[in-house]
Amino acid sequence: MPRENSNCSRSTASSGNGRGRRRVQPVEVEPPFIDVDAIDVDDDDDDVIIVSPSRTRAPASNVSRRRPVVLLDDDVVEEVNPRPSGVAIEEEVSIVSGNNHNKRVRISPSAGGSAYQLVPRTKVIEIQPEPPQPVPVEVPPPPPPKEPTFSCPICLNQLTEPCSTTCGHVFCQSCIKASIQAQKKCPTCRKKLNKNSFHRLYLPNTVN
Amino acid sequence: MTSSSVPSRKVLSKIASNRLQKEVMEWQTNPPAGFKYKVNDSLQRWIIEVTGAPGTLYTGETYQLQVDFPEHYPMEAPQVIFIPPAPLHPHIYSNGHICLDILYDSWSPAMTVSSVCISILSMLSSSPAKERPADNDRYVRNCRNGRSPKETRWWFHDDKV
Repeated sequence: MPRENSNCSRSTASSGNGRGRRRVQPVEVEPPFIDVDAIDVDDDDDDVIIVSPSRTRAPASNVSRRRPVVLLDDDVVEEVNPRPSGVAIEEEVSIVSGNNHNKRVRISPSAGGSAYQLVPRTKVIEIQPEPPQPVPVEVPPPPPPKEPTFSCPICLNQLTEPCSTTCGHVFCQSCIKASIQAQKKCPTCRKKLNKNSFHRLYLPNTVN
Repeated sequence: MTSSSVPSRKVLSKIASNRLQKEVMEWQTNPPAGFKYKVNDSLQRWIIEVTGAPGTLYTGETYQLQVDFPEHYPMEAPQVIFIPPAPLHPHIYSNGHICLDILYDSWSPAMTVSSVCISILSMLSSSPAKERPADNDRYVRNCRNGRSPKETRWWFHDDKV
């Protein structure tokens, strides 16, 4: 499926900056849409996702209450498994909360109750009382190119057991046999032939 | 109509009737210009209407060709004659027989009714004068009892018309 053709997949990923951190900012009017597919689970920089209602980076105290957050990824144990991306966590925290005294952020499953919410790892889906996300319409792949077929000039059907005469004209094996029996010349160019003047052809398949 | 010779009425082989069905289909989608084939129930005998090509001696005139297919068509040539009155042409006898090599010695199984028709129209179109062959009377007298032109030993002397 070619993603760029799909109208309904709106990626909120902020690509281009080296960090690759993703910020989901739902607009008030529209149902927020997070393209789960667009989020790369394996990207090491994607450790933090901040769900906030606006760009103003206001303390996210309301966020967690206003918008229920479902964590799909149970890999919540950031503190147990510190990664090189700890730096990224620090930055985010300071931006969001303005709270500098705690550089090391401990994340626990109960973090939803705190002033801000850090969602370790990637998959976040906001559930709202809206209809489910529209499923991108599957664009059917273009049909594979047709294999060329050639017809026999004698029976006018598709070639069966194609054979070439010594002069290079191609017929079904049974057709050229019968034809040479009837008259000893090529049906196409009238070159003189005898019963051994043709051989089987093994045509290759086409390559796309 | 002594000329509407009795073709060998052997039934068409399976190969022949398959091939003729293909030709009918091809004709219906892509008929040769100047020809009309009134499809009848007989696959073995086609009656085809020819109209003289514009700008030739036969402009607007219509003639009828009768094509009979042998059991082993296309290994064997079809019998092609004009149903009299045949066009006045130096290679067309008054009994409708056509002196044209591809109908006899030079037949090839790669030829079709359609290609034969085009050759006949080309032969008509290149005619310099509306006249019968010099030996018309003698020839017609000799084939009086409905002999097929395929039994004639033709001499193809003129490669211009």
